[in-house]
Amino acid sequence: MELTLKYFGNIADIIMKKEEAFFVEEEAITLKSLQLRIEVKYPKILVTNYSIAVNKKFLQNDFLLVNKDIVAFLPPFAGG
Amino acid sequence: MPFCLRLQEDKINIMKRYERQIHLSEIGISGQQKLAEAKVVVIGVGGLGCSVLQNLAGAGIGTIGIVDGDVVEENNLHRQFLYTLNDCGKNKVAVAAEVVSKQNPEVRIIQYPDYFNKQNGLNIASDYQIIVDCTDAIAVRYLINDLSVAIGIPMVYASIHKFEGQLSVFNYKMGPTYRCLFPQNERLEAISNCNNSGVLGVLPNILGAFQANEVLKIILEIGTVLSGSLMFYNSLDNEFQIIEIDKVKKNNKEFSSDTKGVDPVNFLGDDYSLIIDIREEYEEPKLEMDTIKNVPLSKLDDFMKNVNVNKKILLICQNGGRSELAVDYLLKMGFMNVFHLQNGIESLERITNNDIR
Repeated sequence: MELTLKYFGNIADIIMKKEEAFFVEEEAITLKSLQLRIEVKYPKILVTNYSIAVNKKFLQNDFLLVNKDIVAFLPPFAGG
Repeated sequence: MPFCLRLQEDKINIMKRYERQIHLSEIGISGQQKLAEAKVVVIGVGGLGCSVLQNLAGAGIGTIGIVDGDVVEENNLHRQFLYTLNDCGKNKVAVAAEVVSKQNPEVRIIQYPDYFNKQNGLNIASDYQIIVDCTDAIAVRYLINDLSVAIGIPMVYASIHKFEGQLSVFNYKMGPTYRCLFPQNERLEAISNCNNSGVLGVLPNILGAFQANEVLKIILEIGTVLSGSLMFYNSLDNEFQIIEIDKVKKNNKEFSSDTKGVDPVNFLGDDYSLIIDIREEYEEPKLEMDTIKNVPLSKLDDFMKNVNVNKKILLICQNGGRSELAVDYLLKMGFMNVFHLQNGIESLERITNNDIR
């Protein structure tokens, strides 16, 4: 299946892109599983913490992702 | 001119100032009255805070607290429009208070020229009905969040990163809090602020205006408050997104770790020389007992000045949040024997109901 991943704040700075298509062989994977794969692909994002939204809703680790889901990685912002 | 006539003239002048917003059917004279009676505290008067202050003062908020220990620097001036070159080196709160008072002399400004912290936070926040978080430090944001939960008031949040901004209202009518969005606060040293990542002046001004808008909606009880949602804005692409946040039941406050909680089952069996209900007058159910004193949290500081520090004291509130905070505060003040009713009056009600069944 194909997911659309969107990156924000300093995660976008670290990965140096705001969006990408991400392919996985399985028909469905958990959010936690995706998170681990992304942290393996981009280990530098481990310097920050972040929350993950799927289709514009923040969700827990066990949520099952399916084809065409849009997944957003949002870190806290600190500027004021 | 006779005094009563002068008063009337003042009133007409005030109406003139606000006539364009009073003209809105959603506001009217009663809405303007609500704004005049409102008490809002703005924490941080940088890019967000300057914008929030100008908008709230313009709208006629009756009392505005301003908290910041920082001084004006020249590199603030491109986005913090309350300050001029002549103000560099001066405390931001003092300058902001002077400018805002000129902008609208009707507004009562309370100055707190210090950084918001664990020592002064409870005392400051408990005097207000809304906290506006305009800080640029995430550790302080968790403190503001936890205080807003404990006191039971909403926190209007915004923050920026380069060309992106986030906005939300936390703890509005028991809605999700900042900890529901970002539960953990480790690894935060990596999160940059405007000093090290750069910022274009318009962005904090836009986000600050959004914050002021949420504050006004809460006070006026109009529209839809941005609770349970995070608004994300990208100023380069004009991208807006609203992302839903669920409430997470979790109680990992970063302070109050050693607070003495009392089991509700036998709390009256113990011999306290002073039991204080620190809830506000309007809170239900009332505790009608001769042995219990009613002192709202905002007045506790004054009340305790005349109390012996060795007395055995029990504090009670609605759900144990405020009393837990107040115990911490009193311990710091030197009281030796202070306890609070864990989970508050609500837990007593549950026990009483079970007994009846």
